[in-house]
Amino acid sequence: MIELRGIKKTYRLPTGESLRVLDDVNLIIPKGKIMGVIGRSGAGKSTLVRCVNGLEKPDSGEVFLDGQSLLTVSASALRKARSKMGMIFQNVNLQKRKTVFENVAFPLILQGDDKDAIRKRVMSLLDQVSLTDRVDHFPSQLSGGQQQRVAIARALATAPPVLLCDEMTSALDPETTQQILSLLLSLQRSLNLTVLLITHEMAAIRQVADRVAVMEAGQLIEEGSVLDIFQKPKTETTKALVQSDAHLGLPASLQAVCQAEPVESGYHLLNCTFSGAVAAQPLISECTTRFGVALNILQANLTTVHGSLMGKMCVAIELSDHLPQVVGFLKESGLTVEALGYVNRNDWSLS
Amino acid sequence: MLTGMTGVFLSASWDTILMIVCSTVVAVLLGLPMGVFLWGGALGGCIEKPSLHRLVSALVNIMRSVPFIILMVALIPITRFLVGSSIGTAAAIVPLAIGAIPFFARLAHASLEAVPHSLVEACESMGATPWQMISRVIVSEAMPALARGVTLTAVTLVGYSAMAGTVGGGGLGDVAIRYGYDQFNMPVMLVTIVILVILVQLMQWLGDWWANSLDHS
Repeated sequence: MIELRGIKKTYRLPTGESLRVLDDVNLIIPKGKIMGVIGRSGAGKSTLVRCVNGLEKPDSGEVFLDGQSLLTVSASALRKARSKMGMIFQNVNLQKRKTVFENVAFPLILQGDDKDAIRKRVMSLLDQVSLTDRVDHFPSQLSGGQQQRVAIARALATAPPVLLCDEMTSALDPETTQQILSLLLSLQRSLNLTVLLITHEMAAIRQVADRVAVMEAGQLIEEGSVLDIFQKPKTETTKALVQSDAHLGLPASLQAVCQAEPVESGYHLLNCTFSGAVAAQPLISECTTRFGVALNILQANLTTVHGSLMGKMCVAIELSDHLPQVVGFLKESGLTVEALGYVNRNDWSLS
Repeated sequence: MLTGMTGVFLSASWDTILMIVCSTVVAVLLGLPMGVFLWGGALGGCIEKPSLHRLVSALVNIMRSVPFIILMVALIPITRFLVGSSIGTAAAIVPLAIGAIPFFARLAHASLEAVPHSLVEACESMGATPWQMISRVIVSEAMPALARGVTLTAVTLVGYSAMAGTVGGGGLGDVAIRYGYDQFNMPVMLVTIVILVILVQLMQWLGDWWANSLDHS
């Protein structure tokens, strides 16, 4: 388990101003879980992960790895602790002049393991990341995805219980990102790794994380299970992140005419989120038959969050006296409903 | 005007090669550790010793700013002490090597500096000690650039060795001055130049081949 307590970090800019990158961050990463940390560029995520293995020293606060404080230890004890935490970077950071084998063997050579043990360990690691046919290649002869797999094998060489991933898929194409993420997930499951996954891609979080922490301007603004964060995001930032992942959002033409106050005649716009069994029920047609109102699905999307189904849709309900009942029915059926506003009939246009 | 000169050219070429090889070897052996310290000794570096770093850096700058011909003369007492004479090929190697040490140190410094800082951090995160970092990562990754630095040092030393010839250092510079300049023997001067050009071309070609064979990027 990793515990971060009251982490604060301020950078002094060359201009003399100071920039607060981490502002009292508290976070617990449970053993054997994948904790995703998401936020926009400059939110402080990378600084946070670098504080965990001491690449960055926080101004105040404490970092514990299985109860051992990492900020007060000696240089040699810190090195020892670091071998219990593998780290993977966005720009892979492999040694260009070393072969795949030599790169993966490097952490083991550092600890002074004997040759035969290293050979065995490296080959088994390369087998786990399916690169046994690239043993003697140099990094420049590999694709970006293969390079990242070498980096993963290297990070796992010393069999660390903890893996720190700093934007590990951000430089990869979508297909390779999928491969790397599923590799991460399968390794995490088989080795029971505790993972801290830093990313700005909500899709990565959605696929592999158990829990999510959302960061903004150096602060941790929201934390919870992935399903909770995706279904009931509390802060505006999180909502925006979740929506951008689902590619949901009102078309610009509707956004412009959508207002908060009810209108005489027109439509009520709703965002509905649902998960699991609810997805299998024909709720829309039931609304129509039960209340006689027309529901227009503007956008809809069904994805998998941490292995379970989650759907989102944006619907327009024609205004009538039944409106409260319809909304009530949707809520009772297990949907999370968020009112977006009203659109006047005269303004209704999707072009 | 060139009759009977073949032996002179051959032995002068040999002297020049000897001077360059010996002084390059000394410059690399002493300049590389200096370059490593210039890289890692600064504040925030992996072997930080800020005050010593300032001292070494200043020393390198001072030595770099003394014109070679002056350095040669200024080093005569040291040369005499080390070699027993201030004239001849062996004597020329002393100022050549001493002049080339800070030169190569700066080249090595720049080569090490070009290794991405993120790689340094990655190795730090793997628990590398400063010494492991330097010997197994930084110097290793900088090898192609270091090889080019060695070539550049050797080629620069060709020019310096000719200068050493003017004060009795031996080698091709000595031949060019004594026969070509003092006796107005233009053909000897031209042959010397041709030999020097070929020498430099060969060294550069060899150096490029070496650096490229080390480069896997």
